[in-house]
Amino acid sequence: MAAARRPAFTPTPSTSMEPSQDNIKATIKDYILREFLPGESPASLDDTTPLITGGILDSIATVRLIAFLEEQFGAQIEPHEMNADYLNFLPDIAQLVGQRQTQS
Amino acid sequence: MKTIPTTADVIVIGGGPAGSTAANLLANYGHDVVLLEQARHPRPVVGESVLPHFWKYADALDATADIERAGFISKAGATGIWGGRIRQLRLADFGYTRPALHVERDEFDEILLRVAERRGARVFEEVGVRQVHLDEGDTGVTCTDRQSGKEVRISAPFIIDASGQAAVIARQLGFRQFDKDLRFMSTWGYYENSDYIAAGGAIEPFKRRRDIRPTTLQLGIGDWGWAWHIVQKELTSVGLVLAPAQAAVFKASGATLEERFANTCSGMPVLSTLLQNARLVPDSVQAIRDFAYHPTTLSGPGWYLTGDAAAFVDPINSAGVITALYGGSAAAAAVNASLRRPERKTYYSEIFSTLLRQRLSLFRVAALPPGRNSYPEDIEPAAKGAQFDSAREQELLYIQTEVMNRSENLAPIHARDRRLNYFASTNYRELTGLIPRKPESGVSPAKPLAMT
Repeated sequence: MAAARRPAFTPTPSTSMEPSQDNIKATIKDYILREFLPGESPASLDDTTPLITGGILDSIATVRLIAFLEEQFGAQIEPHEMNADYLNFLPDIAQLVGQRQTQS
Repeated sequence: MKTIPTTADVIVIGGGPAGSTAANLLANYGHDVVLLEQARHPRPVVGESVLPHFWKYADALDATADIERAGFISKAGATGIWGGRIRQLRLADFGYTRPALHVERDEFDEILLRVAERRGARVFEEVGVRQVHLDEGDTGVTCTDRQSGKEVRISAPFIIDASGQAAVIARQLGFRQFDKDLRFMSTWGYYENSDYIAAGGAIEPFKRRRDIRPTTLQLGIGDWGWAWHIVQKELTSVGLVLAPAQAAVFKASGATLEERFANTCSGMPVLSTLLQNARLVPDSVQAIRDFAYHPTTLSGPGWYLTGDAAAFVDPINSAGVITALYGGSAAAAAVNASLRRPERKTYYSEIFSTLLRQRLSLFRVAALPPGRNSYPEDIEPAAKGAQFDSAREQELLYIQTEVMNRSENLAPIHARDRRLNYFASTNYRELTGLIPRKPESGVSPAKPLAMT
């Protein structure tokens, strides 16, 4: 279920307890750099770097990534989403994680 | 003597590449892993050509130094003789810096098993699994120690079936299913002193195998059958994969299996040339039939199938060992996540099953005899699985299928995902004819091709 809609005029409450989209993305980026691109500079991984079709995430790495996403954010990636249509770019993963957090 | 324990976190059935991989990684994650192997290593097994991307698994298993030390023969690539054309792929052209290998599987498999043990898996050999218990909350196996005859029940929340063609769980649950398109027989044997084909097409004597890398030779027989020729450290593995009609011809070609095998090999162009000075090792010929299985169920709550126990296809693309290493790694990743979050074990079992099905579908579709596919539902998962290969691996698979005259198999996959790096490579060479050996060897040049 989607989160209850807020009236448009209500200011967004502080999200200090929940990581923002940018924080989620930064955490995922750190994880991918640490686990799958050891020794690479952070600059080598940006929003346009293809992760799966670019050979950074093979499918074993993707299983480890989704286990990390679940442990870290409580976000569940469905089996049918385990592919380049959903997980090929950092912003796509961060967005999916953000949605799943709101839903839970 | 080690005592078989009565509990563990994970039981792995089988100590081939898939089982050793799963046990190795899970033990290294800190879990209590018991591996049960029915034979005692080293034990004979066929399937000796290994592609260069297997090294990434060797690295993850901490097995690289051990494998390098074994001094297996490095191969230069593959030579395919199909439909009257001789084509060759050289791995160096694809930018691979680490070698593909021709391995003695008894030795290779034992290395992986010992490394798994070194990394903390508890390995028990000559222990046969009699029954697998799959009731939720009461999972485990009953096994028999062949030496003492003692029967032991081991309880564990997770079981990985890597029992190979024995396929313990699939047989027990009755869902093992022959692959309708791959009802072949296979027979193989080992030759001493066979010549081989090097990169460029020259025929080289066996003694030069360490100086001039051999290629894996694959020859088409009719529309669907084929033969392999794989030079190893001391012997050369030669085998035939035969469709039913060809198997009938084979059966009529001699009085004993050994005679039929030798007669068939020496009756094939090119292969017969390579075997002119070779000697078939007595009692080395074996045969199996109906060895290909279509993946049905791949996992359930608390249990996982991997390696040949999950499915098996025509070994034409040298993908068997890598698929086993892949399946073992995927099972380990899923079981590790499940042990950390037991309430999510169904989810991780589904993830595993989805991913392994993709991989198996890809290699099945790529290996099919041209123009056949009784399981069109394999195309979709195959395309998803192909996404996970690097562009170089995609290109290599395309060239392998091109050399083996079946690249049309990849067309429906490519139609699903145009990003895949299929159908766009010039990294293979057509050889107009095998280069004759040096005149001083006194042997006449290879006969022109006459494949039927």
